[in-house]
Amino acid sequence: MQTVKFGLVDGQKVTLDLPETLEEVLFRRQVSFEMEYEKARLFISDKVKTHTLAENRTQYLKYLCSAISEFFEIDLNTIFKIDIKNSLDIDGELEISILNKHIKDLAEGELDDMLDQIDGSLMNLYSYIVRLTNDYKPVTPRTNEDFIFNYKGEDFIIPHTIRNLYNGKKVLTPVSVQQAVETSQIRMYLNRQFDKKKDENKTADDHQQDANFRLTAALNEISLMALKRGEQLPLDDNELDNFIAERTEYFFDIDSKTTLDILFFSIFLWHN
Amino acid sequence: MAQLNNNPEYNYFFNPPTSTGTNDSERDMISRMKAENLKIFKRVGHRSIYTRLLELNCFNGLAATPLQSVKVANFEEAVKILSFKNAGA
Repeated sequence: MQTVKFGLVDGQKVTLDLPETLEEVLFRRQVSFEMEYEKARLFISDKVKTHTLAENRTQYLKYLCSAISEFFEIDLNTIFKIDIKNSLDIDGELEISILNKHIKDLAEGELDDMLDQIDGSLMNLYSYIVRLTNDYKPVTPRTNEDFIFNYKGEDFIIPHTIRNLYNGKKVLTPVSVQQAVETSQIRMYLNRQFDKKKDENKTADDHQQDANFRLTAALNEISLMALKRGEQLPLDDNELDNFIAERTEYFFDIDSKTTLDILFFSIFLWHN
Repeated sequence: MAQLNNNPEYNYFFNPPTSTGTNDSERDMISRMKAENLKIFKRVGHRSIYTRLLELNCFNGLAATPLQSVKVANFEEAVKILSFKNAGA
């Protein structure tokens, strides 16, 4: 974790703890950030399509500030107060050359170089977070190995579902009907949510709902699949709902790297 | 899932045999049943597997009640049984 300082227009400074790896990013912050990032991306894409980016370029900063505010869970007004006069032209509009460089950085920038370039610039900070949150490198699970992760001092296990028998036959380890059905159910709800509207027709509320669904679905799925050693899911529906609700809250501070590893492992299980 | 799908024993779970009926009234009935099944799936989703397995009574005794028994049953066993059932066994 690094500390970066930004000057505010009132002469004060705001200090942000900047993660350097996905282990240091809370998954819930990543989901909130990505929701705002998506809005910013759609804004730019719409203005490029209608050839109106130049006259609307300063509005882009609003999306950028919202995304940064979500990522650091800091009041939006504080982010709005960050001094960006070096990025503005004489009319107080966002400098076009800076916007062009920023868009290029978003597409091509290298994470390691970007960390050194933040240097008090809001746009460089944003580019860095985009690259960091996209920096996940999945590790292919080894055959026959369970996925074990430690969270708040406790080990949680997701069993590897496929085992090779000595005669070469592949069998599934005990995934219960309940685990399979409830996990599939969560994915069905999530897909229904995302399929409700096409991306370009989504409102800010729709994006907010998508982000909430994505976070809740991921945490619910982890609650169902990742159990402590010897633990079983409650069989009563109400007790199961309570169990999932409690575990979802418990996993609220889980980091992005662990979450993405779990989801990747889980996808690997269901698609192999 | 793909692993299960590749196992020929479970073929009829993933690809239930389809019948188009031999006359107009059969075709009409099959199409209405398909529409009804789709409605049920939209209402309860994958949980409809519970009721199908309950009707078969094949996991009774694994837990305190028939529904709990279905829930604790091995998913692969359930897929196998539903595949046989879909095949007409």
